[in-house]
Amino acid sequence: MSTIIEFQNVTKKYGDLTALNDLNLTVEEGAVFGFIGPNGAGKTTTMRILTTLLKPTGGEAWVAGHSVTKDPRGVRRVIGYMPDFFGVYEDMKVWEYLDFFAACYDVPEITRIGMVDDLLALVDLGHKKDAYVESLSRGMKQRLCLARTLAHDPQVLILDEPASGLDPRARIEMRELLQELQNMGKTIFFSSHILSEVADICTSIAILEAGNLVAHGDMEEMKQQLRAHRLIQVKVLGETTPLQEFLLGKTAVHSIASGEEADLPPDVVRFDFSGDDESLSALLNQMVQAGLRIVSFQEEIGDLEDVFLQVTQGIVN
Amino acid sequence: MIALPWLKTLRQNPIYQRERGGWGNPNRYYANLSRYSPFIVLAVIVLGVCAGFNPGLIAGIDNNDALTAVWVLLCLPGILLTMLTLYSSFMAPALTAPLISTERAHQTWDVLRTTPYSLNTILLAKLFGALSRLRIWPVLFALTLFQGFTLFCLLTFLGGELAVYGWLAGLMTLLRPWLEILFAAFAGMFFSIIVRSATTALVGAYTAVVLFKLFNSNTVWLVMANYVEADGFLFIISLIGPALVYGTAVILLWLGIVRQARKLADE
Repeated sequence: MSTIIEFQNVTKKYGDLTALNDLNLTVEEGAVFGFIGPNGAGKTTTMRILTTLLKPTGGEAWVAGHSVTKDPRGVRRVIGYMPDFFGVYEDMKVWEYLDFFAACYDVPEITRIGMVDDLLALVDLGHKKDAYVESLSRGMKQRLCLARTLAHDPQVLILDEPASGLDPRARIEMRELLQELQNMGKTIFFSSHILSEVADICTSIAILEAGNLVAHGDMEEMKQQLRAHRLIQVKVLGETTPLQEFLLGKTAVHSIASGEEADLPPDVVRFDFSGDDESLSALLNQMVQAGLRIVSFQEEIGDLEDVFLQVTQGIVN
Repeated sequence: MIALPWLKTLRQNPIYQRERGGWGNPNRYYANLSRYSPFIVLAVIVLGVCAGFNPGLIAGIDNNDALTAVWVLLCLPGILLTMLTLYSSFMAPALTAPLISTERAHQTWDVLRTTPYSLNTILLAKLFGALSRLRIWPVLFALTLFQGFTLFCLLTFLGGELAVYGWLAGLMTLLRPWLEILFAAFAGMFFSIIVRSATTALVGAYTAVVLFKLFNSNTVWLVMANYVEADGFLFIISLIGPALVYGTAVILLWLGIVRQARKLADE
């Protein structure tokens, strides 16, 4: 896969405030890239630079080979942008809204007729084609706005908080829509506060705090790298004491915990393990050979929230 | 020559066409104002008749029979031109004041800025698209041309010192109505870009238009010229002064619009 978005030493300053500090980042073509961070971290600034709405104070960024500072019009042709506080032309009908923006991107009139229907079907608004935009619910407007970003069939979608302010059903629909767009081969660069949502659909993520990139990479790899020790839970039949005694002699095992103190059921032991998969498998084998009656043996998988909490310090610009 | 293809491209621009009403109804202020246009026209007729007597020209007439004939010949088209300028100066801000402020208030400005048009193209497309809804341009063109040309010919043929006046009077008659209307339109757009409320922008633009009408008239310039005892140049000053001020204001307003729009983009 080739790189479609690249930031090189991008910095944005507002007077004394550094909103974005020396950002270096690449996004692969076809990726669903989640951009997360607390409020004021610089997510929107990054997106505005990427969409050519804001000029960086230093550094350079490229989208599909077009420089955001030297070829902004080239960039705009390959991106579809949905801002965090988006607005729609309420005086237009739904089909007019899409038709207008398609015309702005030089889509021929003959193509636009069928394309509007296709886009409305994609975002499930076909039945609202002749309704005025002002009569749509917020979720519908958000979907219409997403359809607008697709009007010129861009390679990259830049979505700033696409699910903010939506009710749970609309949120699920939006997530499904993003997955569908991913299947269509679009590169999606989006920011969100809702970590579970990012975890569900992202292939890679970047975490930003106070204008600094604190972590980025493939989703699973990041979880793996950020885990200093693997957390293992073992459930046994009967007493846990023999298991704890067995584990005490092992060098790769640390911080053995069990019972109510560790907020665990009475038949479960949890410990940190600093070894690879092979040594973990060997440990399980030894347990069985030692006659310990193992019911379950599993590694606790940390979620995105763990990653987020580990790499951020709660600093706000 | 370059202007024609540029104008053709601009007319095909969807942003221009939207302002003309091609997609939706972008300007409710103008729609509302149009409903009251019969009253506006009536007011303009009264004001036009009152203001249609060019004081600069009257001052230069004295007892000259030939000049009196010129004045009579130019009186009716002059009044029509004054009425048209007044009407357009009143309607133009209603067309331009909501242009950017509404986009900002409805948070659609950023989305529009990510279309592949440059900032200048967006601003010009919006401005010209909105102004094209005023259906006065062919009439204004014909009237200014007629007035300017007649003044130029008559005063030139009278010869002597008046020939110079003929050139200037013709040129100023040709330019001033356009400059006044452009000033009203640009003032609307300038306020539109610095405030988020279209109503505030409209009030600001009307204030500027009224102030300029009051303090940048031929009469005021004549009084000023009298005050500094510039007798020989009274007529010239009263002709050039207002148009010069309007022209300068139009250029400054456009520069201000572009500067504010760039600042807006970097916020």
